[in-house]
Amino acid sequence: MSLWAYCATAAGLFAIGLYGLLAYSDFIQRLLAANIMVSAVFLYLIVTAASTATPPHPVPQAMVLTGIVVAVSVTALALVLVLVRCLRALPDDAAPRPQDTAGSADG
Amino acid sequence: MSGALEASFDLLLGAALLWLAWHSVAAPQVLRRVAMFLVFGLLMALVWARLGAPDLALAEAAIGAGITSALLLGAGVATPHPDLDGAATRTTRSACGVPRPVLAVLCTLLGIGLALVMYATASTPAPAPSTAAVDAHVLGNPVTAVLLDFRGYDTLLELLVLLVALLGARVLGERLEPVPATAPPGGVAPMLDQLLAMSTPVLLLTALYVLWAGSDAPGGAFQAGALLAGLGVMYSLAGRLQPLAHTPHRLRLLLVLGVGAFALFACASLLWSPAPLTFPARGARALALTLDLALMISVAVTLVLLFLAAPGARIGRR
Repeated sequence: MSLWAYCATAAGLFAIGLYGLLAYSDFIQRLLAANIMVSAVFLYLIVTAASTATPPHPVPQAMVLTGIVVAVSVTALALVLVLVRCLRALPDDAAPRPQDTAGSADG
Repeated sequence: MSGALEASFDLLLGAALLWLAWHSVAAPQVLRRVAMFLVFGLLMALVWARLGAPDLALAEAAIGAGITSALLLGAGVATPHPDLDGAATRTTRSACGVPRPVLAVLCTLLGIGLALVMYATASTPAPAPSTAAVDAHVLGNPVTAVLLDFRGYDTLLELLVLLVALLGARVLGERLEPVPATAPPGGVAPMLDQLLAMSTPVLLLTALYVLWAGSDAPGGAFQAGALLAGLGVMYSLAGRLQPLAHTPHRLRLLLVLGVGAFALFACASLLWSPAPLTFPARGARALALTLDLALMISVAVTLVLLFLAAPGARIGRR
């Protein structure tokens, strides 16, 4: 395992995620960027653990496993928030759900 | 020779990850971004395998690449996007007010600095922490042993986080209109039944195997739960699972099964040990498998309900 390559990758991923988080206003784009930052942190955790022992110590592995599950639940919750915000921002309050145009909304 | 080969493989993997990350952040169309993120997750799984953490590779492939991408893809299709044509991506003004070129330079500098600090801390020779207690554990997979036994509190609280996220999603969803139970528009595709019929037993079998093997080999409750949740996502996308206006009682029981089993275990363990969440000397394997089963069911049901509450399942019917 080449330590410097993985360190550079983790740092680069973090920087890309931070740029995406700060530069764009689209919520899903920012959520993707935040997910990439999370991946960078996980990668650094495991790389430091793997630098002292192979396979890496199980405690950081368990922490990252926990983190992956927490990240997906946070992403889902954030998407529901985005949905609520999107529907609030729509002009027509009477029909908040953008239905397909085939006319299946009211039968 | 093999050292140079390994180094070039690592370098290639890192470069591919960075390229994919950049495109999943900055690609003009939302679907392309999510597709790049999906591939990014799969390459991340490859990195975990390369670093000697196959449990993480399984979890990343199933949860990080699978469930997260399904959630984001559904949201990308379902929610209205003002910058779908890339108009907002082309402006130089960033969301935080700083011009984008300045922000890019700042982030590049931060990345270089971080890389130097990371390399300095990671390459400092530190004594490897002892793994004697984990190695002597009755469970052969050290990660499962840590998750269930040594760090049981973490796992218990992680399950609570999942539950709270679902509660939040449900509470927010209450403010929206309930989704009418309708068949998927356009009728059922003729191949869909065949595909579901074929993949259901395969996925069930794989999930149960990953759960069973998790005691001694890579795998475990979270990976198995994510596989089952993937099955639920398939059913949802095929129109077989509709978003629920109310969670039935039986489903609520399954949701709290993991937390409940862990809490019961914490109380019961006071009978044979002064500290809660300690495994008994005898019957530890059976107990671990029971806990894993409860965890798998809870994780799977929670993830599926989270997916059903998310935008993709709600308004993605096109």
